[in-house]
Amino acid sequence: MRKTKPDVPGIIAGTVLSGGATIWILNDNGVVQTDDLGLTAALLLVAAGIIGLAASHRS
Amino acid sequence: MEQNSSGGFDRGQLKDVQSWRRSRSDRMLAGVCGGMGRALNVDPVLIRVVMAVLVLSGPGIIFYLAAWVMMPDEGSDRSAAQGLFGDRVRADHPWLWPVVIGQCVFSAIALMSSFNFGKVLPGPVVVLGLLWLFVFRRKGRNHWGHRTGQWSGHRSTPWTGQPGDQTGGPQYSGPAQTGPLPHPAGQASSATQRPQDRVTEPVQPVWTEDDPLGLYVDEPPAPATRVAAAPPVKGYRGVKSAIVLLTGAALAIAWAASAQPALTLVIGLATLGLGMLFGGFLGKTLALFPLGILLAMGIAASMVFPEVPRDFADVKYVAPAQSQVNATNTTYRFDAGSVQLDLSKATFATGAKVVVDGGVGDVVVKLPPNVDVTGNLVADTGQVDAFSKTQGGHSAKMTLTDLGADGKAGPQSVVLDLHLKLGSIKVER
Repeated sequence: MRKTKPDVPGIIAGTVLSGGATIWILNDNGVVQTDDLGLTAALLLVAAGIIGLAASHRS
Repeated sequence: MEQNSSGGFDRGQLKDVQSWRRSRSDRMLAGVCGGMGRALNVDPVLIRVVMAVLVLSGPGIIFYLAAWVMMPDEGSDRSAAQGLFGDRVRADHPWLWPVVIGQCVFSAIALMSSFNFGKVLPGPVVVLGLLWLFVFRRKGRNHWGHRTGQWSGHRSTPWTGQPGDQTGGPQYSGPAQTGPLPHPAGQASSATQRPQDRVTEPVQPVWTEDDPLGLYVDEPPAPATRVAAAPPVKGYRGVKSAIVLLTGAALAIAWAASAQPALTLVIGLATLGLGMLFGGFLGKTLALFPLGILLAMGIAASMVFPEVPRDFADVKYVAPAQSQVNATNTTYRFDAGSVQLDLSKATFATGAKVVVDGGVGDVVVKLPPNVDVTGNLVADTGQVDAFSKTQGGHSAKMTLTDLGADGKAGPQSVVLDLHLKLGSIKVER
C-alpha cells in the first residue's frame, strides 16, 4: 500500500487555525497577556512553518 | 545575466531563490532590489518601492540585510554568508531559506510588537504574504533549493563550462542559439580537428535536436520507453466530510453547554484546525480553510456584538442656547451608529452627566470653553481623542480632569462617561 502524500498547505492552515483558537482561549483566561499576542503569533507562524516542512519531507 | 525575454512576472523564480543574484549594473545600495527585479522579471523600481515601504514600517531592514548576506553577487556563486562561514553554509540546503524567512518574520513581528512599528504595514500583511508563498509552493511541489545539478547560470543561459574550470568561467549562449555553440575564435573547426585530437577540455555542446547531423536516419528509432504516469495520491475519501461533522458536533456540544457565542465559535474553530492538521496526513484538507475564515469572522463579530444588533443610532444634536443638561437627559445606548453632540451653547445643571454606551461607531462631544470636565473615555478597540491628547489601539482609555480655558473650577461642570467597543471617541471645546 502506497503512503499517502500529506496535504502540506492544509496542515499549515490547520496549525494556524487551531493555534489561533488556542491563543484566543489562553488570552481570554488571562494566561497570555494582550501585549504578548504579537510574540505569540510569531511563534505560531514559526511552529506552523516547521510542521509544514516536516510534513513535506515525510512524503 | 540577462533579462527574461518573456513579459510579466515570473513566478517560477519564487521556487528557485538560490539562482537570484545581486545586480552589479542596477544597484542603489547592494543591488538586492535590482537583482530581485531581474530574477522575477519585474521592474526594479516597483521592488524598491515595496522595499521602501517595508523599511519604513520596520521589517524591511531585516529582509534587505538578510538578502544582502544570502544573495551572491552577479557573476559569483558564493554569498557573503558563505564567505563568512565557509562551506558550512550550503546555499542549496532545502531548509536554509525557510529558516531565514521564518527568522525574518519572527524578528519583524517581535520588533513591531516591542517598538510599536508597523503602523504602515501591519503584521497581518506579512502573514498573508507567507500564505501566498505557501500557495505557490503547493502549485510547484518544488522545495526551496532542491536541485540536482550544479548551478547553470540563469534559467535561459546554460553554463557550458566545467565546474572546475578556472580559466573561462561561465559561458553564455545567446537567446536565439538553437544549435551547438560556435567554437571560440582562433580554434580550428570540427571539420579539421577530430575529437580525439583535442588537447584541452572539450566544450560540451548544447544539442537541441536528437540527430542534427543525420547520422542515424537509416536506423529504426529506438522504442520509446514510456512509464505510465502513476495516478495522483489523493488520500482517503471523506476526510473533509468527517472534519466538518466533527466541527459541527463540537459547535453543537458547546452550544448545548450554554457557552458564550464567541467561545462556541472558538471551540468550533479549534476543532476544525486540529482536524485539518491531522487530516492533512490522510487527505486533502485545504478546501476547509474558507470555513475557518468564516468561523474567525464570526468570532470577531460576536465579540463586538454578543447579541444580534438591534439599536442603531444616528444622532446629530445641536443644543440650543439656554438648554440645560442634567444628570439624565443626555444618555445614549446603541449597538451601532453615530452620536454627535454639540453642547457648546448649553448650560449644565449641578450633577450634569453625558453618558454614551455604544457598540460600533463614533462619538463626538463638543463642550463650551469654560466648563469643568471630568470622566472616563473608553474604547475597547479604537481611538480616544480629547483636548489634543490621543490614545489608540486595544483598550484605549483616558481619564479626564480639565478645568477649561479659565483654568479654575466652576461655575459649571459636567461628567463624561463615554464607552465604545469599536470606534472613535472625540471630545473638544
